[in-house]
Amino acid sequence: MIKLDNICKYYQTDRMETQALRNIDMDIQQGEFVSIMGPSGCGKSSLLNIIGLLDEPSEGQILFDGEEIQFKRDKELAQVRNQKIGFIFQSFHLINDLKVVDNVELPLLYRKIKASERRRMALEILDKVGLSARSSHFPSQLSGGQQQRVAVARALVGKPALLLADEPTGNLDSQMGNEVMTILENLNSDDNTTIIMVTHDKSLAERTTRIERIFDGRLIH
Amino acid sequence: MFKGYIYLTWKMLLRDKTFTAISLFGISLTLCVLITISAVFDNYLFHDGPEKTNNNFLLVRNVIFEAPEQNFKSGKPGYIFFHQILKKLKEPQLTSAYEGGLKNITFVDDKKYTHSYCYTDANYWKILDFDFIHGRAFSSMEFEQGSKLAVISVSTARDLFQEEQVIGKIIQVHNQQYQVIGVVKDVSSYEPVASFDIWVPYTTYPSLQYRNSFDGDWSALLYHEDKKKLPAMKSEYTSVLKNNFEPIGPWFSAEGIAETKYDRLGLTLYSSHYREADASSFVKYSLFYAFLIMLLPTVNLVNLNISRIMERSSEIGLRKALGASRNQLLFQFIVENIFLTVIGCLFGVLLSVLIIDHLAGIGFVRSAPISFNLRCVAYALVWSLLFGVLSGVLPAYRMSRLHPVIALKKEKI
Repeated sequence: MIKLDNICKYYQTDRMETQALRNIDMDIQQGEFVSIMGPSGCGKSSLLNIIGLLDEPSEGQILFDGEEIQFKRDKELAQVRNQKIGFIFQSFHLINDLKVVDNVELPLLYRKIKASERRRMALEILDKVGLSARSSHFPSQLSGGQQQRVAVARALVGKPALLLADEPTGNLDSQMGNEVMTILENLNSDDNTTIIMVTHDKSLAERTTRIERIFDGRLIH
Repeated sequence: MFKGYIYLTWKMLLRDKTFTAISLFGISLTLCVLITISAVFDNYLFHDGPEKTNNNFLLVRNVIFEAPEQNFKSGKPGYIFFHQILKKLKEPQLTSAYEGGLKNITFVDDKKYTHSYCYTDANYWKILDFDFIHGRAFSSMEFEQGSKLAVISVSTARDLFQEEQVIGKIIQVHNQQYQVIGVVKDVSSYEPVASFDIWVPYTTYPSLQYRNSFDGDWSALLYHEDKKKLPAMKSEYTSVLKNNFEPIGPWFSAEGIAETKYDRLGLTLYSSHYREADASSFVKYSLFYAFLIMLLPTVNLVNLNISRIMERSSEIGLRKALGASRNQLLFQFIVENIFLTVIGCLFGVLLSVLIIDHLAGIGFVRSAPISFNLRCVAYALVWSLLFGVLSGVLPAYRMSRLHPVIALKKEKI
């Protein structure tokens, strides 16, 4: 599904160049649940951002379903992000001024879907993550675990083929983290959704089908 | 999607009330100035007095005459010019010539009154829609016969006779006695073609010399009941001057335009030279001055917007991650800004209603009433849209180009 070929990422600062990723090769198949582990600052999130088309590699190429995509125009990249990729962030990134259901609807705003249909889809997915009763609440009225479940619902509402989760349980206690992890596991096994998850937690990583380790910007095999 | 943008903007406005109040204050003040100026222009263009027919006539009042050796004269022509030109025109249904701007001084009970008077013909009354309180205008026959009849404004009647019903009474104009046959409502000075106090037939001029005079203060009206004929009348007039001009005295050629109401405003406001005055110059200069008025508040609002939008960089990063393209974000933030300016516009309209009401109350321009009408609301909407786009584009553009990864690193949404 995703093939990374010799991906490098440099960051240029005033005085020096920092190499965040070095010669990353990776092949991820449809239906895999991959966890990426490594110490802080090793390049995990940089790699996830590149896979999620939020950032461009300095060198190398990405193939998404066999198609090279990093040279596509902004509008086309936005479309791929919208239709094929779902994001879950460590700090949830919910819009506090919007109700839960409106937050979940956000990705659908960028598709040509009627308002009533958007609402139906959002409520359906909220039901799936066990939050249908909270659809009219605002994020600040929910616990951390519930907020992350809303973020999961938002990532899933557009039925993406690929889910990218950047330390999804990082801000949650173990019980809530476990709840979110269970949702991801079910999603992977039931819907065959490909998931790439960045995590520090070894026990969570061991629940995935494959673990990739990064150290100092390189994949360690 | 649109509803969502508006809802989010509303929430943003409520989030930082001081900031919102400052923004709205700037917007409403700017729009208030623009709406008030628009209302003044509106009163110049759309009349409810005799010139309410101004969509159906052209005014000829300025001509450039050229003589050999690069000698030329610019200004209002003498009667002979109109006599010669108007009879050649085929397009107008009616033509009328008048000489206005003359002053008549009268003493009543040791009190001095100065009234403006106008020599004109019978068609003048057919072209302009005067509101007669008493009596009537002079007819074509009375005009041809040189009957010494006058129409006066109601204020003039009150000045001279301390009453309004003065039909049959005698007034003295330019050392001649005229019988009053009509009393009309006062005319606003926004309507310069009709804004006089006394009207008499020009066939009653004290001498016939005016008929051969090159000089004078004459103007003419070219009328057609179908306003679509105005362009044809306009080009016919220009063409006659250019190709069919018979020399008058030393002047062997003439140049000029027959002005629509927009041309007249363009000339009055922005040019001392008739060649540069037309409807497009009115629009062009109006937009230029409106832009100048908006410039400083726009820069101010741009800065406010940039800091407001940058507070939302995390949301921008999120929206990009969820599939919003740069153009969609650009659109979203412009819509949000237009919404903000429309709210400011509501306050601006309220403020300008108060100001216009005050200006009308104190008689800001003598005998020129200024009023707020539905068209002013339309101007307000146009200005707020323009202001919203002007002040929203730059911040929205900068924001839409934020790198999503950097934007997402900001925690606050």
